[in-house]
Amino acid sequence: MTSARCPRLFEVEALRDGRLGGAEQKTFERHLVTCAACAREAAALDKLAGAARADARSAGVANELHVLRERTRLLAGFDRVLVSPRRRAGARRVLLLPSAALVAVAALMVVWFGRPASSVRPGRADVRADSTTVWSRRVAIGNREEIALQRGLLWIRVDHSSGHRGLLVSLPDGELEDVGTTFTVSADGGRTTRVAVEEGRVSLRLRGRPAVDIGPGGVWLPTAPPPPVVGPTSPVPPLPTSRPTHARHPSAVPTAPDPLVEFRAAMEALRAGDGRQAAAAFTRFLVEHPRDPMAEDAAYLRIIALQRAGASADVKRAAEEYLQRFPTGFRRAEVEKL
Amino acid sequence: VTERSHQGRLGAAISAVATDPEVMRRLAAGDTSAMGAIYDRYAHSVRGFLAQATGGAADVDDLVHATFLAAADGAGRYDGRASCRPWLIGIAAQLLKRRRQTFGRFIAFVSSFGGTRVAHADPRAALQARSDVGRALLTIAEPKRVAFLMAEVEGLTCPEIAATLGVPIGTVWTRLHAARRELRRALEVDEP
Repeated sequence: MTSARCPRLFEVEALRDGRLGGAEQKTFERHLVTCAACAREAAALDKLAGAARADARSAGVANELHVLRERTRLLAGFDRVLVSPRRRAGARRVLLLPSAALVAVAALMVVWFGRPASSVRPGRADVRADSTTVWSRRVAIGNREEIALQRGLLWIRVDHSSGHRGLLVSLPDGELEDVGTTFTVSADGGRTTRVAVEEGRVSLRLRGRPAVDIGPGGVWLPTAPPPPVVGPTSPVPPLPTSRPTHARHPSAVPTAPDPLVEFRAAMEALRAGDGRQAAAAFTRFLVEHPRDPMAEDAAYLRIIALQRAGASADVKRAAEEYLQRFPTGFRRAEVEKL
Repeated sequence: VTERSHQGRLGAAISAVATDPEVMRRLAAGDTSAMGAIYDRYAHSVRGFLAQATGGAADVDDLVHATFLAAADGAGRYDGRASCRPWLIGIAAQLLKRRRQTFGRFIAFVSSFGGTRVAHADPRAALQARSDVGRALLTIAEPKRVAFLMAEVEGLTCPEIAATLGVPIGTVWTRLHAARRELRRALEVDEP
């Protein structure tokens, strides 16, 4: 059969789905060799399946850090399942009923009042940094706190008993997820240089390397020393980089001076026309007093100081940091233009 | 390099050449490293299937987790076939079915209070789809889409799909036929 419309065309799909069997299958397979219309139909179905398979391959693609993060989450979930005793199905059903009722009531409130219930802000992690450390923090989606460490040393304690939802430290070359309570992390020259855990556990995920779980007392160091940074000298006053030595105890972190005095000193430098010194002073202020009411002003004035110093690359970076730290800041529109 | 390596309850590392049935046996015994091994082998496939079946929904990662945790729960009942990929896909399809039913009931309940208009499909998902066939897949109903993906992408037989989804085999054939017809229309591929 070679006509454009073969009466046995429907059997192409039947053969594909295993609906034909025995003699019926054999006769149709013989027919398929000689019928152009049925062969075209079979080729069209093959092409459709091939396109779907190609789409599936791209659909499963996720970036390396995401895969590592999800793997850690899964293994932690599996550990919890292993540790917690299995509840009986009946008991689960009894618990499910009031939960469903609560969810329904919450949904009703959302629909009727047209606004979501106010979320409870979780406790913040206790983070301490020395004066040379460059870092920022924000509360991300799902109330998970995120800290970005560019360089220097951070001492971090997360109190999970206060309802903290978890902490993620973004590093120049990867990320560190808190699974426990107290640890220090250092970065220098665009690389993580040391992680030391005092209590609990952390999961370190660096690009191009397998994830590492570090337990209490564990210290992670890179296998090779970081390559020297080659490039044009930044016009910004160089901040002294921290050297990864021993894990610092909170009491070892120097006490911050009066924020007002520091802010005034930075302003004096700016008024005197010394943009580089002013930028460094505002950077120090932001590191030492991140929660001070003048922090937003300091972040903005640091951009101005860098502009006056002619450090255009650093202006952009400082503007990004401002927007990240103060997403609803007073000078947002102005900074966004930079 | 960890100066003090954290072993915890992790067992010995699973060899890359360990067979799937062997890994499943260890998973059934509660070996966390077996879970890591099975995830490394099939997370990409399971994620791809779920992303295609849901049109890249926001809860794809949660569904992947639920699939692997359910697999661990049922590892003792694994039938011993050489590759556990079709088995994992079956679990993922069952979770999708449960999710669809639960979500459908919830949406119906909320929308019954009036004033709430529920869109049947999120147009953003179609815009973000990776390819023409990805966009076309989003235009067909989820049960048909899942049957099509299980058969044509994952290579499951119709009786296997029927057993996994808990529907008669005739329903699987009908869904497959309808899915192909609608996909070809959406892609403007010549129909017989």
